Amino acid sequence: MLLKKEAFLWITLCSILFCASIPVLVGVSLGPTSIFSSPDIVVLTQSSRDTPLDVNLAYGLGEQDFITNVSPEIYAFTSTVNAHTGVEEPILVRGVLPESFLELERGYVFSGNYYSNESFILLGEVLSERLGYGVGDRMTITGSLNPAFFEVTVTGIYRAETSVDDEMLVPLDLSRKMAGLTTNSILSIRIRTTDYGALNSYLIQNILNVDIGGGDSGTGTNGGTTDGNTSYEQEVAQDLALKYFKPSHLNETSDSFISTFIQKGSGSIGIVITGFIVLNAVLIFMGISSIFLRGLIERRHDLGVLSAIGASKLNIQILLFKDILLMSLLATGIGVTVGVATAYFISESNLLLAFGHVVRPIINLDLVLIMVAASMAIAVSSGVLGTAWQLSKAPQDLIHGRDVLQPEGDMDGLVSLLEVSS
Amino acid sequence: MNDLLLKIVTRMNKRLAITVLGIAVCIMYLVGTSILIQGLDVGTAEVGSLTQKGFYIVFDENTLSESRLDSSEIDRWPGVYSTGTMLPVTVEVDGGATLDTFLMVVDDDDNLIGLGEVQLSTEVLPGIDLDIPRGSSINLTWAQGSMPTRATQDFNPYSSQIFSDDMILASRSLGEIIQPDIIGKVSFVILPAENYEAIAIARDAGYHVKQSVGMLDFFEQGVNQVEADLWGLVGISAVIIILMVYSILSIEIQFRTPEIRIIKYLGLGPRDVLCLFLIQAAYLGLLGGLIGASLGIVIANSLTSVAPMFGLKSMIYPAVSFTSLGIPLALSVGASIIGGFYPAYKASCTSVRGMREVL
Repeated sequence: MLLKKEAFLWITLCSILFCASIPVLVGVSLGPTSIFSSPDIVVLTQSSRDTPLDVNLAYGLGEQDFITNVSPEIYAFTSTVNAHTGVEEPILVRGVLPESFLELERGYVFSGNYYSNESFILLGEVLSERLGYGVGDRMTITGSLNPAFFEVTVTGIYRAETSVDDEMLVPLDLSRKMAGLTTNSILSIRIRTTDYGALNSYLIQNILNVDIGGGDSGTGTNGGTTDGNTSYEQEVAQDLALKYFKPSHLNETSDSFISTFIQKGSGSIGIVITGFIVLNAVLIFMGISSIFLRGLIERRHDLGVLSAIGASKLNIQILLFKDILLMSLLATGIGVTVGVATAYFISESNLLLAFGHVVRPIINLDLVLIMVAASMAIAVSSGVLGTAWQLSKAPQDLIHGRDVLQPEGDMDGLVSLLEVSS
Repeated sequence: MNDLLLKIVTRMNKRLAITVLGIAVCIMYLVGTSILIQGLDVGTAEVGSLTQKGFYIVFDENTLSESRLDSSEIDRWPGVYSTGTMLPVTVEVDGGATLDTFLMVVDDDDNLIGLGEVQLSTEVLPGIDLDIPRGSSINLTWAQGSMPTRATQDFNPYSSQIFSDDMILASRSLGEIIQPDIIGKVSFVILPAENYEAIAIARDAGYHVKQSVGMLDFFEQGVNQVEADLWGLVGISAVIIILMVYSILSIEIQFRTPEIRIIKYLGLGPRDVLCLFLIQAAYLGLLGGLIGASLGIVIANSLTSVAPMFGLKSMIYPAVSFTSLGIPLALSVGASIIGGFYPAYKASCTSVRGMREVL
């Protein structure tokens, strides 16, 4: 092998750092959307703050054959004191009907209980462990958009094994107070259905006929006219856009704070994360380039000898390329394996937090393949670049290190140095 | 001789320019990401300044009912404020069912939470959710054990948007009869958002100071959590920077072996050579750092400017601060010195025996 084994260690380290950081960064960027939705759940949300949804729409949906689960919800963003550390931490409080919510999330209460739709405070398992609160413990929380403060007693701990395990569930009435909403108002309805077409038709029909509050303006989803025109259908479809994880599909003028949170939150985090991924790749490229270059310079004498005994430039290039390919392949293999294991460890140990939720690094086949391709591309391209630069020297220069002694203008430099010293 | 040394340290050729460029890319990464993170912080504060803050609530334990602040200390706080005391109690209504709730004693003379008009003596004012009929006779017992205290319910129940409707409001004298330990104590202080001085005093005293509109705290603390995660990643990347500077400077020292021999031949000792190359490493780091910092500022601003063109809404206001510039620059110089130490040490050990070949 022409390149030293030390270079392999450094390249592997770079590959590990690259492959461990990508799943975490992607996990952070997908955080805001994963809080509100998942691939098989449709989220119906208000189209503007003036036209909130009515809880009766959720009750009506619950009676339809094509609906598997329906959960009316209110989100309140607040903070509470971590009992372990005494430091304030952000916490997402979700106003729900407990049975409906747990059915939708396929979760269950494993400690304590909920006693009725009006009397319960349930903590997600992960949140309970992180903040150090159990059944019977009291917590102080404040309002979300409405100035208020509450002392609540935890009645149960639930487990759903999704990001909702990081949340607090409270009765709809309490969350309305926290969010400053009027009676019967809710912020979203999350639905699991067997027939998307039937759901869409039902929503178009029933939102037209049901007065959901603030509906006399003649605009917006809940205050639309009864002609069932295309633009109105588009508005309803827009309300369903969250299902597809495309926040940009939401109405840009909407001042619903859920859509604003998702758009701005995921947009801002997306920018930072994209910046990180691009700069990370550039940095790893530079790092590996410098390692290969150093390795090649250390072996320039051997390269010169090979060239002098008759090996053509192409032969040496093929030889080096094989080295680079083998090193890159092994480094990528180890890098991806250790990187994914590190990401898994981070996920399991709840080390990283964002907006009160544990960051779950994304580990799937697509991402692993992308990481393998990117890591290989970075390593091979940086190696090839260094090889091309080194092999541009004449063999005798490489053997005698004359590229070191007499690179462009360096003799002038030596002469000028001697002139100054004399 | 000083001219010679200065010339060696500040000399620039193609290889050195590439070295500086490499360091610049590293620092561009650090400065760019630092500015974006700081920008997220500034953006959150900007949004926060446009939202109503409500009032601040100050307490000293994890929960209001456990918190006990010294009234005499609070009395010295400037400006307007209200206080409240919470006690966990068991309530028995008309000799029938019992329920667990909180007794709240509020001194709201300045009407900050809408209870300025409420005057209670031996009566209590239950929340509407408790569903206690007017005129009921109520026995109150401190949850941790005390003699029952009798009170009556002579008012319509309260309903509040500020706190929950399942508590019992009572006068301070009644509260002190049920639990004498609260004499001279309060559970919490309510401060208007404009009472900056008292808010600062409470923070300095180490109390929990929460905004009553929790969304602002949620976003501020949420961004802090993201910031901590990303700084961790930046820290990992710093390791790569040290490695890269080490590699680049190793190459550079190797390229300059003849020059090192010359200066040693001219009479510089090993320690002088070591210092010389460490100073040059620091110089390269500083130069690369300054170029990288400038590029980082441009990249961060470009990303946030271009994002809306791709439909990405953002609340990032790129912010250059001492942290976002000073730390990466210090890291650049520090990493260069660390990375350059071993090559410089090797340079200081270079023998002058090869001089004849050089000349």
